[in-house]
Amino acid sequence: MEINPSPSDPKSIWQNQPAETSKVTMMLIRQRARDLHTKTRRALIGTAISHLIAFVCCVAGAFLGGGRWPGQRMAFGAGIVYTLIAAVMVNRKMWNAPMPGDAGFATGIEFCRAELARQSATEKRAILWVAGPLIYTVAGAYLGPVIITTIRATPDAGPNVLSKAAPFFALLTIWFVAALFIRIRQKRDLRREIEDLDAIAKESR
Amino acid sequence: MVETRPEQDSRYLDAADQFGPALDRLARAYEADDDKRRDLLQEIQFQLWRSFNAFDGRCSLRTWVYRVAHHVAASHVIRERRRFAGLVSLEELENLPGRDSSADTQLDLDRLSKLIQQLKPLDRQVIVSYLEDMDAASIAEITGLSPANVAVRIHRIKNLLARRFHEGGKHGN
Repeated sequence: MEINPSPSDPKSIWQNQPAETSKVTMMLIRQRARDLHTKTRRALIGTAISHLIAFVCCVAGAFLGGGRWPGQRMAFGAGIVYTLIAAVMVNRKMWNAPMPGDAGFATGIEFCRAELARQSATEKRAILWVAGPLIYTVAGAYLGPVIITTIRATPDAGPNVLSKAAPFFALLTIWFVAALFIRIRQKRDLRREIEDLDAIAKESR
Repeated sequence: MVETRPEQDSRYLDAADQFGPALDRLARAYEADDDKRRDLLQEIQFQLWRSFNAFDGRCSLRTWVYRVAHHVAASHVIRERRRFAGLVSLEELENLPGRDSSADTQLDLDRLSKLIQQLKPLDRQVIVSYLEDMDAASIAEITGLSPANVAVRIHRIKNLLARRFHEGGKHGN
């Protein structure tokens, strides 16, 4: 029997709302599990490409570029190690990422707090382990030689490489500062949310 | 791939059978867009199925189902950061003026959903559980708040809803 919702009772309105009869079958659930696996693998391939580019550039810089500037081999060697560690870290973290379904024992406060902290950590990890090796390699492969050439250039040799590349570096700096600003603001917002939850948890004890 | 236990499927099917409509309503409280809501609901069902791999009966089935469902939905809200920044707590919402008016039930449901969707995840958990007719102790078990804190929040919710819906009713008549 259908109960007519009272227009003034929010509980009645809420509980009698028209339900969407979308049947989630076991087949759909298993499909979702397969999709999740595929999605993780695809995301890993995406990061693997950036790692591969960094790795190839580092190998080329260390073994093919010769010793154009002091410490070149060592810097690119460190890049190779960094890239390999990053690939292992990303692989491990992606397959073991916690999911809401694993947190049935956690209360709402505990989960929201952990999720906010995880969100903050994920961004930090993305910079360190995904973008990091590529940034390091580009900086090593591009900035290193430019700086060395500039240092070695004689004063009467005309405009040096560094001044020619100045617009590029200016744009790069603007992008970096803007990204840093956004990241700091997001981190501050997440921090505030975590502190709010801590205060509620403390009040609730 | 996810390892499964033999009873996982049957437990999930049992829970989906019992709480299916409630999960549908819960998804509405967290997502206004129809397509995204359908996707959220599927994700809730999927995570619920996964969760039964670890369910050991330490808490009631209802607490478990609501916890997992709220976790998935909260995670969805937190991920959509831009929206998260504009969310308010129950206290803040009390001080915001209600804008629209309606007398029709469907519109009231829309207003109620919109009101809930303005709240931060934890307050949404309380208001949705309250609307599902749960008592303070059950809500406390799901959210991790103390029963006294839940009671205070419910009192606030009641005042807020009464004020908003009363206002709406008056305008509509």
